[in-house]
Amino acid sequence: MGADIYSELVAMIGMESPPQTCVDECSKDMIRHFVEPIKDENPLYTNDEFAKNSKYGGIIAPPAMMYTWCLAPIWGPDGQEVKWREEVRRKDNPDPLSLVITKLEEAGYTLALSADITYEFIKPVVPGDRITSSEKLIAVSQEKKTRAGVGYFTTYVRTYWNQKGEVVCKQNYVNYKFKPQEA
Amino acid sequence: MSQTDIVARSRYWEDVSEGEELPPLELDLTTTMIIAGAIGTRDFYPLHHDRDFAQSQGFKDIVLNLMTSGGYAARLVTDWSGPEGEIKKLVQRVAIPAHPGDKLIWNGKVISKRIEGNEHLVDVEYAGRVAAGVHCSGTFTLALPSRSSSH
Repeated sequence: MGADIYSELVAMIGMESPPQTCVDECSKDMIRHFVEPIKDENPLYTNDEFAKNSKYGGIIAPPAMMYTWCLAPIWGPDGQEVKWREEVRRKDNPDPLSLVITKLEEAGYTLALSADITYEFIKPVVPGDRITSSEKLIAVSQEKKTRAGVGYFTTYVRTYWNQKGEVVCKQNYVNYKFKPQEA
Repeated sequence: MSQTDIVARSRYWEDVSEGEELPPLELDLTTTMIIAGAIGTRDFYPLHHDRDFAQSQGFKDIVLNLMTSGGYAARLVTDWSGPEGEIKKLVQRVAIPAHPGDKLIWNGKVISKRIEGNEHLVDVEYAGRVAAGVHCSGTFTLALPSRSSSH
């Protein structure tokens, strides 16, 4: 059975999600809400005057905020209402991560861990930007045993671009979908 | 630490040496901070705000989310470099979950310095630890201003 799942996953390599555009524009308010619990005093994020005189010419979003630009809302005025993002993904988009998750959950691999994330920042996101991103499945492991259990590592690259079509970030993401192993 | 302190700390690439340690960043995590982090990153997965759900998943309490951890790690680095330190790359590996009540201590160290094209780069290795072990670790690549190419 394990071998079948593996070959089905391998057949999905190269699959890309339809581009998703963030419902929110980047704004100074969203930036402030991100830095608030982190208490990050970097003036590029919150101080207009400092940022205006910097090489960026204005406030920029913290690079570590990148993934927030692709999270779906939990409610929308069009009647859309969902509990959390994974359900949105599965309902609306035939993206590779959702399909992999669904396939593995059906096979009993119900738990998930994010193993490793690499962001390459190419251009700052600034207030007024509207970010779109798309994700592609690039690698699949054989079934692997870890301390958490037994399951599959799948690797994705997500590309983020702004409303001018300029790529702002590339993100590599490894997901481990597993089931606890009986001792 | 204040905005003026961060600006005053701004570092030139020439002033950085390999092996240099960054001033640590210590946090006492609370439920409020973890939930504010989840909201600030628009991450509504219940693990980050719903204790009952977290416990049903085998955790003792809600869990600090990935993006907020990344934000703390980035703060460790730019508190040290100053705002001129431009984050080019971030590698993030999350291991042990961080919960309310945990003391989370971030440390960093410069592991290499190099010039690539016009850019003066440093690589910083970092880790955030709770009592149970490493919560999150990885590397940053930063571009710093250089005395030789200041304009």
